[in-house]
Amino acid sequence: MTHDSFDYRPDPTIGRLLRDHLGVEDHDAFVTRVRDAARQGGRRGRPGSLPEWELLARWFRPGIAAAAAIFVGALVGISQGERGGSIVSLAEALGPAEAPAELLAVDTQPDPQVLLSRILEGP
Amino acid sequence: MANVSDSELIARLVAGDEEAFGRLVAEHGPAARRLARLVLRDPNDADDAVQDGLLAAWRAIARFDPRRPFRPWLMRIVLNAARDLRRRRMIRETQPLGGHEASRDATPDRQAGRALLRARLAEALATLPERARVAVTLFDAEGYSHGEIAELLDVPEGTVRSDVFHARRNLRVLLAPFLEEVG
Repeated sequence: MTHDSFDYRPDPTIGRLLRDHLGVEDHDAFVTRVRDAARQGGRRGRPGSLPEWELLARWFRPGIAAAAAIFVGALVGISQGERGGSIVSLAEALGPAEAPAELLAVDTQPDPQVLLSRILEGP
Repeated sequence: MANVSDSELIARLVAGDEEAFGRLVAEHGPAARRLARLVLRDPNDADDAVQDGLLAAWRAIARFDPRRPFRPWLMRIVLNAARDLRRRRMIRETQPLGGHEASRDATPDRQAGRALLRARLAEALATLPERARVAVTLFDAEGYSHGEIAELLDVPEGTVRSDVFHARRNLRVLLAPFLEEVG
């Protein structure tokens, strides 16, 4: 026997014994099984498909942008709602006859002195 | 189909050619199955782990660096899958490799001497730590270099050399009566 344990080359005898011992049967069937599993798994993940965190990262920026747009829209809506609310309240307070169109048509705060004089003057 | 290199098959796989995946499984599957059997010691568990590993490699193929050898990369994934399955199933380390299951699967024409050799080899392998089993098998049976094994097992190359040396010495001692016949 020419091979010893110190040899840096593969031991052909040990190698053959190990290959025989660990020998795999029905490899064609195994290949078919793995390919079938890959096809079924392909619905969930294609070759080279991204890990979940990368997928989530792709959604992150559009998600932030959408949330920001909704937030800005909500702020504008609230602002306009408050402004509109004050105008409606003013119109209700003055009544139809007491609310001059020039006052209600503008979106700036009315001059209190003008309002007071209109109320004091009466219809 | 003519012989196609791993790198060509990988390029095809990345491009969406599923046939290339089958070719890679056919080519590297036997070594992967042997490696998993070293860890799990049960052929069915080993095949489950190899399938998990191959599918994981399939999904991660775009991240594989084509400048590096494919086989160690694949085997590392398979090894991790086998270890993971072992943890999940809590397979006992003391169960001898290729025990009753292997005997049950033996074909009738196997000779008694060969069965005895298999039993003795199973006992001998069971005496080795997992890392040494893997190292000596990859080196002597699969033709890996010490460097490839070191990368796969994430240990220094000197450790692999030592593992191979000690494992081989133990196997030779335990199998001495048979080695002269088969050698």
